[in-house]
Amino acid sequence: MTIGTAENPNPHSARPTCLFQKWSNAAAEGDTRTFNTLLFPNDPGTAGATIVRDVKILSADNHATVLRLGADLIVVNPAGTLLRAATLETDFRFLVVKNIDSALPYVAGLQGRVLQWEGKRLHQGDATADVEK
Amino acid sequence: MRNPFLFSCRRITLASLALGTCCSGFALFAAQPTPGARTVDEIDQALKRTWTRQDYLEAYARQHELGDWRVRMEKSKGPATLEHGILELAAPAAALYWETKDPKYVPPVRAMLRTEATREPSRGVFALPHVVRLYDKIKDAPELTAEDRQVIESCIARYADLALKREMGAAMNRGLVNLLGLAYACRVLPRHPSRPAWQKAHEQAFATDVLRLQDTNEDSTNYNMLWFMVLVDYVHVSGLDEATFYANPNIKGAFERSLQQISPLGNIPQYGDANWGIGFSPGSFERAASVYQDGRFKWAAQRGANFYRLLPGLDQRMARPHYGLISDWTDDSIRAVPPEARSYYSQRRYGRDFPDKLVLRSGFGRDDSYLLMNLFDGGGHGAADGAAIVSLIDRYSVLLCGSNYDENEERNQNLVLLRGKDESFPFIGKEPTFPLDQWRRATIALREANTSIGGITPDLAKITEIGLRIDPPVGALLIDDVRLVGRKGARVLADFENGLDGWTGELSADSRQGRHSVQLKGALTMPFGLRTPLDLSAYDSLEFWWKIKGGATASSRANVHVVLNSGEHTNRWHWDFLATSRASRVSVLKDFRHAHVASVDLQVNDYLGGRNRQTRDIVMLPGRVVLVRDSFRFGAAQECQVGPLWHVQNVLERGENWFQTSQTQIGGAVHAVPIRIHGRTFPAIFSSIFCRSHT
Repeated sequence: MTIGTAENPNPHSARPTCLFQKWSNAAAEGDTRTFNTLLFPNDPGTAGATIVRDVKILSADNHATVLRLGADLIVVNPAGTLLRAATLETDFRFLVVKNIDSALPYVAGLQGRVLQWEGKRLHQGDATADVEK
Repeated sequence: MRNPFLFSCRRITLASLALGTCCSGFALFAAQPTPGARTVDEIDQALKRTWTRQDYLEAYARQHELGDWRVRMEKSKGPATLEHGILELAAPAAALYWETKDPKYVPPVRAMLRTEATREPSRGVFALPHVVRLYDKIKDAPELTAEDRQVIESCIARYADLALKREMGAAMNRGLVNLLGLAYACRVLPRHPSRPAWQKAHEQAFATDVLRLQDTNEDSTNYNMLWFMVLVDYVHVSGLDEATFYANPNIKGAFERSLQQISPLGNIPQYGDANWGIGFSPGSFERAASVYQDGRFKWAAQRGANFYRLLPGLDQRMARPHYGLISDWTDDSIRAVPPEARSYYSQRRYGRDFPDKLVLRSGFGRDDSYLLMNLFDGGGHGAADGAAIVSLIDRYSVLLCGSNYDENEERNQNLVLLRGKDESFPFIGKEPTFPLDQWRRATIALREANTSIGGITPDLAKITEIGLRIDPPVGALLIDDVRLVGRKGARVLADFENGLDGWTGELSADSRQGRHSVQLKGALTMPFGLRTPLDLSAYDSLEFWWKIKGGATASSRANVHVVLNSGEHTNRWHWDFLATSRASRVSVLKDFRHAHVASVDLQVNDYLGGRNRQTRDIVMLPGRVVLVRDSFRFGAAQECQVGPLWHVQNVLERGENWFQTSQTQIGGAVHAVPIRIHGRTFPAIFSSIFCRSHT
């Protein structure tokens, strides 16, 4: 998988950059490739949506979708609440763990893979502390 | 232990930012108000304004008083310099005369018409309806002299006779505009000797195309709404039984489809060959409200008018003839009723039903989200962007929007792209090469559904013509060994060994395996083909060898069409067997269980010959996040590149994975109006609605 950007040489273009993920290889009939993209409509500090590439879906059911984006774990629940739980980044400004209690069951549904995030066992307090600092 | 109060404050701050609103205590994070900028509250209030006939008339008057018509007419005098669209500027005066009979409105219209009458009648079809509609409004004015009438009526008759030679296919805007001009000509010149010919032409074409298809075959916000406006006008002017016409289920469905596509901002976001903000017709919705006695259409008309009100230039837009008819079509007795907010899946019926658009929405209000997805490639003025997200709006901010169709990258936006192994990926600014000097076999499945260009499926038993064309003309197309293949055998239509076999074109020595072929030199019309009655009902496919002759200009936009006619006008069927980029042929909405989840299954034919499957799953959670998951299953073993392609505004300095998708330039220069918002100047209209609350 290649992830890249291409500059648009068209001086009249509204879109100076193109973002793409590319799979390149010999494909056999019936081969399947899956690509995921996230758009965050309300990214403060920008005028519009932010697009995120290379998203891995760890778990999805009728109650929540749990995604891994780089070093972040993201939980989206059907109530319209986006929760970023257990982020290890400190410079993300806009996402807040508003209700880690509701997120944790879905994290737990990952059968321990995330609960042992980079060697650190996550609890509710850990997650909020990470966000707060 | 952390201070719980600090934590709480921090959380509120961040949460407020995430919601795009800031309380006064955190003004540090809020943009300062800019003169001319609009807040969410202002937008919200503006969208709730009601419009009456009198309001529309006052808009005409404001536009008339601006005097643009005079300035542009003076600049445009002379046959060689007359501006396209200048006639539109006289529409307010014509409408105001019709309404008030105030003689002051006659001279501008008369001057415009007489200026037009001095021109060589070489302009396209769009002049005739403008001229004749303006004249229709003032023709009884005593201020007009006998000479005025003679000059203007002579111009109308001349243009109408020319219209008979132009396109009549009324399932698309240009054809219907032509019919409208003829219908008006019949009305204002009832005793003209050509009138029977004008009337027969427009009535026959309308019956053949519109009454059978009951829809437009174009897939563009602008052209769809233009078609609606012209349709409403035509139905009124032509003398059709309006009640019977509007009762056609597919016509009513087309209005409903447009209603459901309205965004929270009140417009229909652009798709296909379109510009932001002009693809909306308050007038046609006013008419729909009246004929269907449906307050939802009144609501739609008012939302649209208010959307234009948010943008500079509303009055100029009102000057357009179609808008100049809004007052005629407005019924103040109908109360605007907001439609039920729901997601919507639309189909179109071109001989069969096929998926058209998908709207996911949480509502129509200030806190709502809206996503518009295109479900197929095709239709006139459409873009090759099946399953593309063409619009995303949240809290009155346009977050993602297709830009102008004429920009190359627009043709492949927000979709999964498939390219050959050694070709550039993506190919922004670099067109893929058209395969030259290679004989290839084409198989056209006669019974396979096709979503391109539309038209009505021909009766295979009554084919009158087989034609081929390259669109646009990029070189010479060679054809050889044309045959029909069915379960009971094959029939050779032409092998060109003993001449042209009845086909038009030129015999070519550049042949396959030493045999003759026939050559078509590029043209948009159909000079190449076989015109003879044919019964193809026993066959499943039309097959032939083809080659683009060396020396042709490579172009990604070139398609070779196979056209079957079974009637005089648009009873034709196009196959694009040589799309040089992806072309999704079949799309199926698999999952649409609730408002914010959809799954679309596409069959994607690539120009390498593969017939692949793509599934695009979308989860839209209001105001928070949109997840797009594409699964691509290859239909053939091949070496290739495939992946999702997103056009973004700029790379943000926030980390490797973060990009901004907002668009700050929409539309062509004609419609670009600088807007100040948050201290910045954006070079386009739609930026005016880019705002956040700073209260």
